Amino acid sequence: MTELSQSLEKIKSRWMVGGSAAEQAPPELRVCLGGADDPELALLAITAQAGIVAFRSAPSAELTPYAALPELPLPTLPEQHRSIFRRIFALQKISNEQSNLLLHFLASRGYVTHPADFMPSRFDDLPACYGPWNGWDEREAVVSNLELSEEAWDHFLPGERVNALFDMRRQDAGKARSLIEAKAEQLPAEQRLRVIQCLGQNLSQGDIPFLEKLVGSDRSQKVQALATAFLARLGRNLDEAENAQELADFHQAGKKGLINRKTIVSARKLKTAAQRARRSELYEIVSLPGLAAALQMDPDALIASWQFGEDVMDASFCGLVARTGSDGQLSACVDRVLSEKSAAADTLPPLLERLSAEDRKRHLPKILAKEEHGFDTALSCMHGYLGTIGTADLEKAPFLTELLAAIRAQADDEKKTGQTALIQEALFQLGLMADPVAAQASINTFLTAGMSRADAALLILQLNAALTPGDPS
Amino acid sequence: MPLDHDAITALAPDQASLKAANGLTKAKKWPLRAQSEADHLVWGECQGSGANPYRTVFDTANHSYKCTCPSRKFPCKHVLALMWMFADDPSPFQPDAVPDWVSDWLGRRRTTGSKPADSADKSAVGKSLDEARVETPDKLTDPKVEARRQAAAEKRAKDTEAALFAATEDLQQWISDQLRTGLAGFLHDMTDRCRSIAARLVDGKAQALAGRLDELPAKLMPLNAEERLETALLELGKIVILTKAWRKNPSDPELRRSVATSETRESLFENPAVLRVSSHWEVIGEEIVTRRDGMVSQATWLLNLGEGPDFAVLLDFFQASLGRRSSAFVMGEQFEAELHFYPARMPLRAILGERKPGGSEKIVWPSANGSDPLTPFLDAQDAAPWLTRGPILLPAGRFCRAGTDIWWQSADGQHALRIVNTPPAHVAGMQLSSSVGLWDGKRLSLLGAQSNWGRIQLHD
Repeated sequence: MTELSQSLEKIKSRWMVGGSAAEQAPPELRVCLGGADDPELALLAITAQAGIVAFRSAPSAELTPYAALPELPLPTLPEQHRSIFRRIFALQKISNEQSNLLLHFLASRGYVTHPADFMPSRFDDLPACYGPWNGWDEREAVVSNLELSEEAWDHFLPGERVNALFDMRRQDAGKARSLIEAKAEQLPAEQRLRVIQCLGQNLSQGDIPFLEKLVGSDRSQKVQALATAFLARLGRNLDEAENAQELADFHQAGKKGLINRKTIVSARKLKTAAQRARRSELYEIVSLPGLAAALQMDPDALIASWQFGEDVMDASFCGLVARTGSDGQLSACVDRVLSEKSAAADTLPPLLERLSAEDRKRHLPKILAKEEHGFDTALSCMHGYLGTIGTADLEKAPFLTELLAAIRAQADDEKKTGQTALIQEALFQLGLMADPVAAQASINTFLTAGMSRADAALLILQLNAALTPGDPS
Repeated sequence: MPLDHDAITALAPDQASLKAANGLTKAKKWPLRAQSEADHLVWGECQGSGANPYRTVFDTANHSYKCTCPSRKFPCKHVLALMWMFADDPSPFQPDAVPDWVSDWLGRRRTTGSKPADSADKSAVGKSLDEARVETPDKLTDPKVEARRQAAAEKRAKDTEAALFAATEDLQQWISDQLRTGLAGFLHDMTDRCRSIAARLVDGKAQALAGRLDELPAKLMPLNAEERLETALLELGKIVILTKAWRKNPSDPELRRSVATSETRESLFENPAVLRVSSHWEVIGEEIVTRRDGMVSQATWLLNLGEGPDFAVLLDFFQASLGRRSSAFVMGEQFEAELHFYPARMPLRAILGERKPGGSEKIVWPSANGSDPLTPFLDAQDAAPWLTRGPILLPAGRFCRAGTDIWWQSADGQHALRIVNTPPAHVAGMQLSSSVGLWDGKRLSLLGAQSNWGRIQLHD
């Protein structure tokens, strides 16, 4: 075979430069070619055929199998629902944030995407069940059964470490802190910040020495600011009297009510943009106890006295509480926002981020009833338990009425396309929030309102309605 | 094939059409929506930009369609929208008698390409679906006229054969010239040289060979220098085998098809000798290639899940200027049908005969036979050495890397085939229990596979 191969190479070389190659053929072939009308063409035919039947190309290097795509801890979407899932991506412009939410929704129903339908490219904000796919083809060991420790630290990807540390903080906060203390220093600033954010889970007095060390010596200002905010939550006095007084001067305390003279604190009306910018800046660095002290009040009293009604200032104040308030102060602030008619629902998200899923779930009906112009706050409140709102709670949402009106208006007049984006966005959010029964009820309501059953905006609701929680049948 | 969203998506010529159709799926846009369940017809009138509504109809049995709009996309957004609405909720489509314009379309569709219709009868009023379906008998012709017609046809056939002989001789001489003057020069100037010989072959009525030569530069251009020479030699050598074989047996239908033109669909249906295979088939992949002559070839590969040839390919050609034409199939779809195979030593190309609605139960793929997955390809080469590539069913295997190349390797490590189409990383990480690909003697183009993640499409 080697002889034939060498002969064929010589023949090809000859044809490459031109001329007859018959002389290069092996003797036994030359005998056959003698009887042919055109020996050169006969040799070409034999050469061509030999190339594909007599020889097989071999790899130039050793074959290395691809790493196997790991199975995820949840089953993939049932076959009968994959088509509708694919159509969501095919027919709608899905942002990264939306695709992440969609995967969170699937996970809350007990499923993951089939890799052939949608393969995530970033895993930072995805449910933890997608962890095994993160960098699977570049890693040798699968860490699913490995516990995070100093020794195993390098086997975990940054996102996995954060997830593992959050879990560890829930189980054993001290152990997690010791691990962070031992390893965080070696991380780049951005990763260090994410790791130290884990201390927010079950923050306790035991964390104070480490936090003080970070405030005093960490190279990153963001890490220092985070540690400072954590210390403030724990009630530590910070060196901020000057800034706190400056911020307090942008506010005024007064009395309200004829009989029960109630103290109120509100923001002063500022004259220049520079003043407003300085106040915003101070809200980012001063703590709630610091501001309260500068106003000669207790932090709890400051929350109780805050005069809601000016959205920008309310958002800044709620941000301040979310960043530096204790758990109790945070809870009190949430209650105030929910009970005050003049407080907008969209001041809630930073506060809600710190609440447990159970607490957020408890507040959800009130948030739904309060939110008038969208489902953004309700959706952010549902992180971790998407697809669970029942019909009764949904029906109380004032925004649903607004949404129905927009759908009816569009159905009545095709030219009114101004609301299309709003409708699509709202239906997408609704599809992520509702439980299957509420999703089906919503579809029926929208169809009655004039929407087409084939409208792509309904796809997520249709998927929701069809997808029974945890039932892969 | 049931009309579901996957089928509609597959039919759509592009994404924009689907989006446009989505905008038309509102009841107010459709003053009329009706159906005839017995006739498998659904039709509607869509209010477009003009004074008259567009009339749209489709057949629920075979998904053929018609719309009066001037769109150059097939199917247009109106057809897609109508199908979409019907698939979602057929209840608003009122049962009704088939209107004349639908019967008219149906009649034209059923008689296209066959015997000429009786225009006098067809122009009469009061057309009905039943009338449209009645086969029109042939007109009685004058025996003398018929004899003259036959004589002229025979003369044309002789002239064509003579032209083909001259063209193939010219082609063989041209190939000899390329070898004599050096393939280095040919590879340097292949576009002009191939264009020139292809034009001469068209004049000599050897359209199939002309198309092959015309496409050769596009086939060689993406390859590296070594592969370019190998492939040029392989292609020219195969053409020599084909022309020599045809010149020895010019009436052989398989060879004539590869040199000149294919038989008509009608002649295939009428020929009692053609191989007809009733079986369950799975749509395994689709290849759409835009050719230099402005035509698009659309090859739909089918895997036989029952008895008969292992594979079939349905080949369609249409003008590229019409945009991407619909595919009547969804990848992975299984259906029961009778296929009529073009006569060949290794039957592969076929046309769809009677098609039955598929059951919901998925049929498992057959197992790959023998120890060497290339055996069917080598058998085909023994029977028809002019063939350049063929489908193969591969046993369990996996994707491997060797430098920058991707290979398929059998699970036992005994066989390795180089792959043309690089799969995405997550697909390359799947374990393949069975795969189907097209092998050209050097490289494998994978179409679809069964894997530990279920059925996956590797080329569509």
